[in-house]
Amino acid sequence: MLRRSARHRSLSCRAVGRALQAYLDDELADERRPSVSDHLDACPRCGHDAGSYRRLKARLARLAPGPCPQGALDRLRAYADELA
Amino acid sequence: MAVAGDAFRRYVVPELGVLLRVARRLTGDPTTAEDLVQETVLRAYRAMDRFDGRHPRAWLLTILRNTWRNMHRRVQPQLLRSEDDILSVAAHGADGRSGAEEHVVDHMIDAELVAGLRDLSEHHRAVVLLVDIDGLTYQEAADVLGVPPGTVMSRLHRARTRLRRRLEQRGHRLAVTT
Repeated sequence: MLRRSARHRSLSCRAVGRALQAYLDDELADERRPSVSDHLDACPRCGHDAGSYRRLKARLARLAPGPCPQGALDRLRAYADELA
Repeated sequence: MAVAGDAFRRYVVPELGVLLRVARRLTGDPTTAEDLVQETVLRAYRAMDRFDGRHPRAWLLTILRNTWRNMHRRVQPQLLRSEDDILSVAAHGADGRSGAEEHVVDHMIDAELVAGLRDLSEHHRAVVLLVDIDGLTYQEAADVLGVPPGTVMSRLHRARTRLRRRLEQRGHRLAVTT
């Protein structure tokens, strides 16, 4: 059983760096998540990186223009209904 | 034909919101966006018999992309008026009212992000707009852009690193205020 400090080295910082964006975007395969997560918990530098990217994503998401106008959506639904 | 109509209602109608959002991003204009989605819907209807029922969103986004290209347009997601407006509000001050300092700083970070997005290459800006701002998955963004999902991911990594570095160099901390 590896000690915690040794366990995070089972996945290198470089490997985690390559997987990090997909991990943060929930695009990483399920079976790969635990080893990345373990590393982020144990490695201050990678953990800090993950935190920065998470906050960047959150700020970008706030720039979203808001929902599309309901009128346009209604017209398109009516158009689709007419076709179907 | 009843069967085609059922399939159409089942697969296409639920995706209208996503299609409109992506169309808005590609066209930069609400009226053109609506026209684009309408044309996409018509083409989807005509192609319904050739659709195997798998991955309707991918199928529709591909039709959307090809429809836009057929209109002699390049497929290039762009910053919208509302996002560009963030820059001018930051420059002139929000409504001329003096806000609490943390709100002013907060808004400056948004403005810096928009400026940073403008400075990215088209390819890098596109993936940030589609994934980080519009909330598409890698596969959905890939279908819109006509590239593999791995390309979306590597461009995202590069773009985010640039944006992060830009903010840090300008002394901004990324803490999200509520």
